[in-house]
Amino acid sequence: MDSIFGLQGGDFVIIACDGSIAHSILKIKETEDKILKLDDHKIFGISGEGADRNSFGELVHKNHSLIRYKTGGYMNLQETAHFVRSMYAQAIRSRDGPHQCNGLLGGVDSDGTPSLYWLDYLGSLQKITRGAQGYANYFLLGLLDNQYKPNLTKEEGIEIIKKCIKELQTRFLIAQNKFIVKIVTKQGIEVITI
Amino acid sequence: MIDFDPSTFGLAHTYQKEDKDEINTLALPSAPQVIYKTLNGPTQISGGNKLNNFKHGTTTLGFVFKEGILLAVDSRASMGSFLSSEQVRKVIEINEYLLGTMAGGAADCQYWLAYLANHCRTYELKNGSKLSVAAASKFLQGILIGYRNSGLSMGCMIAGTDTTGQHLYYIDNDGMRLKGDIFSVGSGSTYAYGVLDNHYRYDLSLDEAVELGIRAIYHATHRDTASGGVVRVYHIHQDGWTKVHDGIDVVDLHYRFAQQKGLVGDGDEAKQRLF
Repeated sequence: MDSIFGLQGGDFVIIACDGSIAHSILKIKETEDKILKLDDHKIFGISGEGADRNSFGELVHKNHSLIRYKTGGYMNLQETAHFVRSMYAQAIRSRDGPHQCNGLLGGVDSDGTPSLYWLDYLGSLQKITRGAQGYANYFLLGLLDNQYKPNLTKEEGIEIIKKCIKELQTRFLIAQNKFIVKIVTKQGIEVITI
Repeated sequence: MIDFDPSTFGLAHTYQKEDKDEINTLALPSAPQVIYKTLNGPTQISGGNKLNNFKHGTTTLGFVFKEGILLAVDSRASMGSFLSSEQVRKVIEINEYLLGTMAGGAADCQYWLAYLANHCRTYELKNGSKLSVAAASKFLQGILIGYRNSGLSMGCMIAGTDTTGQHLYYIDNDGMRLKGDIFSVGSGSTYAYGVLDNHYRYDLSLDEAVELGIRAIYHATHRDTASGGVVRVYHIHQDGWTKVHDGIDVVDLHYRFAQQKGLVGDGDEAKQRLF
């Protein structure tokens, strides 16, 4: 039931997530941050139930740090995305089965190029300019397609995300009140709570 | 060429390795060998032949406020429609600075919280400093992720104090670990949340917080058939924890609260008459 959605602009990437954790009919928490910071210019928004989101996120974060340490300190977005995909793919026919979570990986390379990748629990990887995970797809893809244009500015991007949040709050059956929005630019990661 | 074996990462593997090295005294439970045939009557185990399908009704709650953390729990244990006990201790005293609450399977909670207590003490002896609440709850999460498909049933809160302050974590058998300010767990949790969300403020005084905890548990026990017995209240502060109330009977609370409103408490507020 998590909503994760994101957008890539001219020089930034935004990923937004809802903050709620639900357990049967209860909302246990409203301020959970589902967007993981992999390093100063990469974020990974993960959607999944229970422990899967948390444990896969930690797995990615620690392995990413380990590989960077082993190989000299920097991985660009394309390398990171393929690495995360390989972690998904290695698990699909393992004893415990696939990691039950999907994700949106976004960030900005050292030369300022932004990228956004859509990752699936079975190891699908697609580079996209706008997208969502979960039920948010149904409500937001139309809106994101309609509002998107090439080389968006950061302010335009934030406005589109606000429209997406408003749309979810209007039409989605599940009340999602708090959203956490993270924006990556060449300067770093900015966090807004809406 | 990057060369790593993903099966060496992950929390389940770490837990299993550590277990063999350090902890020799507590043996892991093995699966039961005998399936008991179900009987009719009060001893019938609900859910058919499954031994681990006990219904456990509970209300436990905890919240963070300016004086620390307050934990309040009920004390009823039920097996289907049979009340097995009205005096269960659902707050488990892990050590002088950590408390755990029990919801779900009593045996699972008691065993794994005792295991956690063992681990905390071993860490303290080996490293010369106490394990933080975050680390203790993380350790428990690792265990529960490892046993994810084995049918454990636990919805517990770990609350404690360390050098960074007082912290409250919710951990369940799916392996989810959440840090938060207000949690209520169990079959009566929805009723408790109603009262808790309405009156909670961070700047409650200790007396107000205790009163809120007691009221929330009382309301949950009144409406939830699987919660009841007595209310036990604990307070966690920077010097450890204090047991504020060891057992206030919810029946007494019912009449006391009714009297405060000028009512008798016999449930006849609507004054229904048949003729």
